[in-house]
Amino acid sequence: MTKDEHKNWEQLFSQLPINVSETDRHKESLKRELLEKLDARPTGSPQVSSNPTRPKQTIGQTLMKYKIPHFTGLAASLICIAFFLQLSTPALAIDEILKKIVSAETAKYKMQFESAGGTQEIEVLQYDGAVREKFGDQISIRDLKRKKVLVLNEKLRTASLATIKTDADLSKSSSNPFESFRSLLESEQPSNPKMLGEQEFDGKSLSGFQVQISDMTLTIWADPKTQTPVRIEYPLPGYDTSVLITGYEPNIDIDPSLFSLEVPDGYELRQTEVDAGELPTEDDLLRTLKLYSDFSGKYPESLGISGLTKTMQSYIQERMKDGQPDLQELQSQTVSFSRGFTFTMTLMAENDSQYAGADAKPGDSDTPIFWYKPSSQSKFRVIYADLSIKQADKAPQVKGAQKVGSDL
Amino acid sequence: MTHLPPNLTDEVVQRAKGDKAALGELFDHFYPMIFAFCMRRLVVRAFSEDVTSEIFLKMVSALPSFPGRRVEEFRRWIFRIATNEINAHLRQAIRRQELLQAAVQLGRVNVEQATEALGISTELDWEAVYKAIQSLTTVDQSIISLRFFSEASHDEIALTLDMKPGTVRARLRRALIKMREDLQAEGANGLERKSINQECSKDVSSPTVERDSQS
Repeated sequence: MTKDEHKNWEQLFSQLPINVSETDRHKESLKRELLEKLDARPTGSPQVSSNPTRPKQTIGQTLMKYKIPHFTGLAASLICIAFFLQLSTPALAIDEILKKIVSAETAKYKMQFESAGGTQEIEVLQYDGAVREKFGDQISIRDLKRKKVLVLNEKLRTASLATIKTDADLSKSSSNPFESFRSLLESEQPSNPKMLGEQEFDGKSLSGFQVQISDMTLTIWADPKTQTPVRIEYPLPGYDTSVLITGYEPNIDIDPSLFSLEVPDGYELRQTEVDAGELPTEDDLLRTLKLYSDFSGKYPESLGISGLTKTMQSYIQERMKDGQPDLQELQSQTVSFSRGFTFTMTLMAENDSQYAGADAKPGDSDTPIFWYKPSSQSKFRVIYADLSIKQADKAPQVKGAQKVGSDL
Repeated sequence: MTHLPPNLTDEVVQRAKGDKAALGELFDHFYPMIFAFCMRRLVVRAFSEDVTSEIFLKMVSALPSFPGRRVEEFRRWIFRIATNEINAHLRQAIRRQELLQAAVQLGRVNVEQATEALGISTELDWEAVYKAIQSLTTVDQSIISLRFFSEASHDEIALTLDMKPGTVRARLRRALIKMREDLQAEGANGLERKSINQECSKDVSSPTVERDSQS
């Protein structure tokens, strides 16, 4: 494309026969609205004002942002922080601290998922909306603006570059649960703070506070001198999992080349396309349960994130030991896995969903392991241990059944 | 990007976070160029006004957390918001269809310009141009829009979309080549298109477009 050709295009577009002059009516009306909005903004609230054009999101809706596959199965960690909803007036000190989370352009932290199934810790770098996560030998770079996910296995020297196939603009989508948390804080304001005093963590004295959000308590520990959040804790009700963010350092210098989607020399590359357009369904959950039981000979202890991701990671590592695993098949399986889990997160309290697979024997046609009542339907859908599905008027009564869903 | 108000100072940007007069000044300066950008991209005045409103409301909501201090930074920031909002508007297939229906009313591309840009001398409609834009990826549509509908330089586009300038150049080049190929193919079917467009322009439900009387 020469300069002349480029100029020709400019000339062509300059001929566009559209009247672009504005009307005073719209301009003045909008100006009034903006200025009133500035007036209406409460003083003392965090500098993360809510957006009236953006409706409150349900957790299920929020989770739908996380349809992006995580090669390691970390897509199950899609869940977190989505509970920061329906809050009101915050306290000033908290405002300042939360503002630092929301406005951070870069950050470094560790994200830990704890459940009965174990603990998983991921080292995370955030830069310009993209995240780089290190998990064992695996490095995952998710850049949703560019609709790319690059996963490198440092030990096996393999690379998987997935292109997300969707017309949607993913630039506003969150690349990991903490990014989602930041996104939610941008539109919601926490309230009812309770100061916790000072406590020492890793030799450093931090000041803490809690805020109550629905039936969940968020705890943040911050450096009292810099008002910078360092440690953030919150449970995931219904998923026997808690999330812990530690070593949080916002706005640090990060080398942009760490987020390059170029495959390093010496790595074997596999490229795939992932369709992110479809919402997860019951079928996805069936595939997830089958994949899990085929590999481990049983069903998960719970639908907690950590146990599931740990199992999935073991599965992938075992497959990688095969020598030449079919990476596309493997990736397809991990996508199914994450989508099934995400499906359970779309269910609300009204769906009355429960999980009881911990003691079930795969193949047993009499033991219900998961059930829910689809919205607007009167009967329950019951999944049995042989992965058959039957309808029932009432929810099965199974000892030890755990409630699951996004708004518990 | 042209139309940059010569008298807008960095201080106005800094004060606008809490000062109504400064916010009003900022709005007065940026409204025309954002509205014009939306009009060129969306064609229909009603949609352009809606999206412009959405852009400025988002801007004022997020202004407290806007990290920049300079006019240049603000300009890139609001054009980034505008680009995202326009893309969001066009995410629905029905919106894209409405745009194309409206573009029918824009009529023919100047034959001389079309010949120079595309190397074809057959008749070409603006609808085809918009259709060719729609066939690009969202990112490439954003680059084309910023380049030709807001007259942004490669470097400005790169900063607005958080891309490397070299990437912008390469993508712009590829996008224009693809558009040229699409339009050349479209031009080859000129007679058929003419027939279809005449039918479409009779559709009374098509959104109304205000043509620039000077063009």
